[in-house]
Amino acid sequence: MTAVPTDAELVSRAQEGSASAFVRLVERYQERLLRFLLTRCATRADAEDALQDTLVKAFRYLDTYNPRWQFSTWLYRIALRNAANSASRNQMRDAVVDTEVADEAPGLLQECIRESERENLWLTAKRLLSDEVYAAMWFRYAEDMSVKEISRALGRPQTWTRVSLLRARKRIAAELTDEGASGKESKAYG
Amino acid sequence: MDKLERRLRDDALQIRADVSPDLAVRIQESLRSARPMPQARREFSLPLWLAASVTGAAAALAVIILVNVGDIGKPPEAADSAPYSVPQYVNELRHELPLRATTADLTAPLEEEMKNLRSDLERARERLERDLEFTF
Repeated sequence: MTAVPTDAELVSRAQEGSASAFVRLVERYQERLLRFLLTRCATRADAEDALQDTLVKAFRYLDTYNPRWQFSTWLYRIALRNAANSASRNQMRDAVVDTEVADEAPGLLQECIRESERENLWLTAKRLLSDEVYAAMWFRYAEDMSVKEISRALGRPQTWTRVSLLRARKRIAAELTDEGASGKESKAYG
Repeated sequence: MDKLERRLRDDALQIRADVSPDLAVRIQESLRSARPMPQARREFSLPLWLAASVTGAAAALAVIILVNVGDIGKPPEAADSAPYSVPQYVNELRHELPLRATTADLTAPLEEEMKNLRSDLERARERLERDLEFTF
């Protein structure tokens, strides 16, 4: 049984010119990146474009990657920037489009979530948190990144990340408790 | 891992993010056509930056030298002389006006207040001394 190469090994080989090593990295990350981008972009097409841009930029600037940080952190940093660019393009477009039409468009995240009896927590988080804190939550709980890596990805101090994560958790837990008070949720959150 | 963390993790996986075969092909195509940023260009960027800084500094130095050398060449009279002359009749028109102004009595209330405060203080000191004499 062959050992699965780590990100660092694949990056190192890709930096030496191995296209197959980079393709393996793409295969490893494309779905995770797309899932994250779907929570930040307005349409699926935007998320797919942002994914493509992210991977192409990562390939082009692979030599600038600093191995002191996780490869995923670097990749998500690029993805965040691409998502922000996509959002600003949409804002410009929405300024031209009739607002009534824009308001009727259903949320992309809602569309992408598999049907369930209860509301997906990431939808709750989207409703309650700012974009940046939402990203911090996503990195922590969906991507299992450390506080240090999250701070690096968001370009924020570690204290900010810690406090934001704590507050975000409390807000979501409070929302669930409120729901529980009127429904059947327990108070075991937070 | 607590219940909230577990639920966040599970709910993240509930978001459908399948990369369609079309998208995968598109990504592969764009990667194939992309070229890594050449190493040589990046290596060259530092000397270029350095050269630009040195050129800028040299230009600034040259300007400073040129300005100073220009000043040295000038005759001192030209630099010191006034750019206009005062006509004679201006001095004749100048008259000594007797000033009959009195100082405004704006500080009087404050001085009065100060005097009152001093006397209050003095009275308080005397009372204190008297009290001390009674005590001991």
